[in-house]
Amino acid sequence: MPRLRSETASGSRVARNSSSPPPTPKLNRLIVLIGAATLGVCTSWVHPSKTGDGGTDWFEDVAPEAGIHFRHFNGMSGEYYFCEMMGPGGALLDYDNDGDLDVYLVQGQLLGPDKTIDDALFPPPEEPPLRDRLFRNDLKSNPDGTPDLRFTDVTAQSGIVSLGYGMGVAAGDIDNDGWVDLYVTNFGKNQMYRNNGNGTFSEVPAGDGADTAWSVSASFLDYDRDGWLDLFVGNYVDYRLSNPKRCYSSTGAIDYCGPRSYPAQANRFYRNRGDGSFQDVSSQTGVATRHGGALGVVSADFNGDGWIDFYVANDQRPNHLWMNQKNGSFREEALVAGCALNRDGKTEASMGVDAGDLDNDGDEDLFMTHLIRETNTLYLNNGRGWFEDQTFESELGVASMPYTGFGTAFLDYDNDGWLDILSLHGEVATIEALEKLRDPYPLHQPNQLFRNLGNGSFEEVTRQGGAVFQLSEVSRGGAFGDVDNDGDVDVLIVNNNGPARLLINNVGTRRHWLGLRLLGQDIPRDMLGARVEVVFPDGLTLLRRVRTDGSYGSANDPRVLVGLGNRNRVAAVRVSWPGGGVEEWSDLPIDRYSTLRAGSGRTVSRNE
Amino acid sequence: MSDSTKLLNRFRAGALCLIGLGVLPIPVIGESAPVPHSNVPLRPIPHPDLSRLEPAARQRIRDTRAGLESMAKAEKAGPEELSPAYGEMGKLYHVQDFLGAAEACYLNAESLAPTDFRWPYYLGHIYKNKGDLEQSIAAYQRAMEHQPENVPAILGAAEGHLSLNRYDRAQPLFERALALDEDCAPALVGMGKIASSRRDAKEAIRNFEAALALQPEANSIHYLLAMSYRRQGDLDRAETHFQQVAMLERLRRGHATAGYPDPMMEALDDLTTGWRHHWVRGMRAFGKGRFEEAVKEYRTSVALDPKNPVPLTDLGSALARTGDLRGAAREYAQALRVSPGNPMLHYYLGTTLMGLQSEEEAARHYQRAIGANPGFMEAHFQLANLLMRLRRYDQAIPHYTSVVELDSGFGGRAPAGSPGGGQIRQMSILAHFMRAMALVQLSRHEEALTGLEKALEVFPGHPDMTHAVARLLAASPDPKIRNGMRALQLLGPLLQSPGGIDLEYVETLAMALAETGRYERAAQLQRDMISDLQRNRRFDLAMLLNENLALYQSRQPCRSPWREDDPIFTPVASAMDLPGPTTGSPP
Repeated sequence: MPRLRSETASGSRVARNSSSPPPTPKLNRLIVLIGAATLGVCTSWVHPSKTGDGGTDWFEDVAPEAGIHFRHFNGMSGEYYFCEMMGPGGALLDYDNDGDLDVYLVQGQLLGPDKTIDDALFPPPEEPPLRDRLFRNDLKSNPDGTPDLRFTDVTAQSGIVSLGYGMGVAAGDIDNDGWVDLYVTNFGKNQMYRNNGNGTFSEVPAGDGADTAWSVSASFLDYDRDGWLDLFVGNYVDYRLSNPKRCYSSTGAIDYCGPRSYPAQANRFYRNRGDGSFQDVSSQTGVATRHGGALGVVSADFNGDGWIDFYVANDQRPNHLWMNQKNGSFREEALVAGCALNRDGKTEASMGVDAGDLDNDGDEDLFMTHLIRETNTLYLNNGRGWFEDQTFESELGVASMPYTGFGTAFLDYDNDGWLDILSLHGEVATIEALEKLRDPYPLHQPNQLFRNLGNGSFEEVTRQGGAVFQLSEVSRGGAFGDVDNDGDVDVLIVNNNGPARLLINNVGTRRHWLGLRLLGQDIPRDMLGARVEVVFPDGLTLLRRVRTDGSYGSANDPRVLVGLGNRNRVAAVRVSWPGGGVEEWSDLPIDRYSTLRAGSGRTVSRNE
Repeated sequence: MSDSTKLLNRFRAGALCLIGLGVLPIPVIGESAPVPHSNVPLRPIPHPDLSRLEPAARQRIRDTRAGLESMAKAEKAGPEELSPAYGEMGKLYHVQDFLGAAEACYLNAESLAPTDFRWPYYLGHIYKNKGDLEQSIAAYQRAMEHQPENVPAILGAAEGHLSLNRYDRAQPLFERALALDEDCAPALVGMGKIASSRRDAKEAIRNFEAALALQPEANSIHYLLAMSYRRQGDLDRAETHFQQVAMLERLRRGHATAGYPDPMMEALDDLTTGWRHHWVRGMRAFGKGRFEEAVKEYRTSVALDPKNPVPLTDLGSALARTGDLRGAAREYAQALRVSPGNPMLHYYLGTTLMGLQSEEEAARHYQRAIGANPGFMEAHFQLANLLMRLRRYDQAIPHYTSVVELDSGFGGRAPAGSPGGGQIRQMSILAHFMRAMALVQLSRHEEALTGLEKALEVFPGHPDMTHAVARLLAASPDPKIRNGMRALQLLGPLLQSPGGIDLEYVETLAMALAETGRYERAAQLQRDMISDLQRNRRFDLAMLLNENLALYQSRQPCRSPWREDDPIFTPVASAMDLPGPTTGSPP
């Protein structure tokens, strides 16, 4: 686990950690750099919940100690503006290509005509104008090999001037120069920032039409296999501050409006022309024909035909599954595919979403977060892009009913080879119990962590997650990735009207892992959409994919991190590239990151 | 807000909020001290923040609470008086969604009167809403001890067990509900879900179909059936139900889930105040088909909150059901002023204006509905039909095309051998067909034929489209597409229908025979048809057939597949248009 530079702020934790017996040899970035293949790693490790784990929290928030000082300002002034409780998101991205993940955090602004900062119910964290923040990860290794995690706020020198009312962010290399670019979604005009490759960004037009709708989540995907990342932008509802409605809770009390109070906004699909510009192809792709108030989006090949599809989580309207027709268009098939509505045929208030192979059967399943009194919903894929709601069967249903979920991910936090689930919570309407306590922002709720038991069901392990899971906040965006490069997945949580938190994983590296970065042959960018099959000597195959999308208004680590469980060898890694073609690599080293470049593996046929 | 309050709020915002509020050493502001009563320990009742409630609701709660507290202080009050007082207080909190306060009240009421069914029953609902299913089931079970034959309580416990995957405990409860009321749709749905979990698709379908027969508007049951048929591989039936779900969802019509009368919960609704009180009563009346009563309730609701589009919209819909279309249009227009640009309101208004013969104005509203929601299939369809009636065929075509394209989102699978089913599929079929008819009116016969043939790939063997193709092949003025022999081949199966032969098919047969040079047969068929029609005193139709008879007798083929005034070019508005009530928020 990382040792923090500012130890005075967390002395007790450092002392406790240093007194705990080392559970396993720590595999760290230094070892990665020198290219050690495998070490004498203990393979008989037992799940911490079964051992008591010596009091070590599975996750620890290190944001302030590591230098991430960020507090979201939602600009609320008692007017119940709809957008004030919907943001923000954040991103984990390596903008400076130094091998570690940096942090981008989306900020709000004061809302409302004729309002001054004195009208704000909560003070801004700094003098306005507020702006999104970029924190550079200056990860180093301590003499004992443990990562030394430290961030520096580089917003001022980055060239990013994001002064809109921010909602979310997407990350992808739009010009194939190997430097990741950013797309910031706003309540207002969205912004595209091109990475100049020198630590700075320049704002560029996002498309051939000014997209001023209220957007939250966006996804970069190469839908036409031309090698350039295209962009889907999910738009929410036609809400404007100039035309606010009076809305009520179910009891008649004044409250925030819901999405059904406003017409849903049309989504946008932009095709990357390959010359630095984007063309709005929403109509040509068919995407313009249906919209339902999009909040989450995730792209994956849901029917295994080798072409990237995408799924849109809509708020209180049926969700959409856009299947790639391989001719430049998509067809919306969610209803027939069984993932538009829940098992009772009801629409749900979908917010965050993720796709992943939850049951290790070789296809992409779906999970999405919902409103309080609904359940979060798990759809299992039958391999052909048809889904079954297995929420209750998996034990994920009842446990999620008291919460309103936003950011979420399939993450194998304990590297046991089974994807677990983290869901981030915070209500959208007043919580009676908090209001009773005169809570100034009575929407906060604790987050939840679920462990995949590998038998189709989950157990809630929130308590074991640590003190950070005892917090009750209004969490929205969540970004997932290996921030300290130690081989397990860490979590960036972005809270509405609260601090950003960086949760460092203390348990994942107790098992073996395989880290992969997938780059194009002539294109030095992360090949979003690539499917990775990790084949073990016993024949078990795990499916993962390269992505930055999913969750809620956030962007994830594009690298693929695969927990190996009790195995200590990988027989082969097979990659299906998003442009077509399948390649295989054998005997890749474990417990370190390897870079796989298209064209450098053994070509295999799809059926091999 | 005063400066000191704001400062306090800011201070609190900076503090970490921990879960487990009950164990925090923070005093519960305004909480009443426990009220001792003889030997029954009573819980303190929290004071929820009433500031955001409507004044009438706020006052009612305050008055009731004052009465309760004064009764509790007067030591003379016995459990028989205090229990219902706590219960009534609980109901007021319950209906305002103050679940914590309601829970405490009901628990006290139950402690004071342990044999009263009502309080554990309401507690069952409270815990279910809080997501605490174990407590919910326990409360329903306590209620059932007092009223073992209360079906809503049995259903509450059964559905709780079902959500917790305890099928063996849910099943006997559903069976008990069905034994008490064989028409209990939620119990049938529950039994279907249990069968489904056991992979017994046949039994699941049997139960779901039985439930659907009881509540055909419940889109939830359509969905369960669709998924069950899909699991069985019966994609045609699956699609039929998927289409129904899509349509009900789009039009927000009907009950989402299978329902069962619950007088106890309905009594709670009566405790609502202000606009919502009357709106709920209006919805209930609407659901029972008592539209005059619904109008009255909605009017009162609108008077209490004139800028709320929800009761305005429903008032319009109720008026439409009473036949007062002018009144309906007026209310929809007002709702649009409150909620401008709302596509569903434009659609409703357009449909109402159609009924008032204000076709141009209706078209404008359909267009606005489409402008706001390009995927609004029903609006495209109704606008296209309207444009057909206005003889603006070229303008109708793109809207029929939109319906066809939007429908392709269902997977484009043909319901081979099935009747099609579902209003959306019917709409799509009609859109294919009517687009072809619009092209015929524009003399674009080749395009019409191509479109119909493509549609037949999606709906193979569809009789109306097959017949339209045959007629174009038999009688189109465009020589490039005429093919009498193929027309005869296509007509073959249509003419062997066991349910009787459509007169139009025979007319087309005569056209095809003439096209292939068999004029005598064509003329004989025509004469036979005319005789039949005359025998049935349909002299109007018989006269129309004389035109082609004259052609065939003079050994000339027919070169006009449809007469220009054929009613086929003037679609009538379908019955799907009357709006239902909204479900709690503006449409």
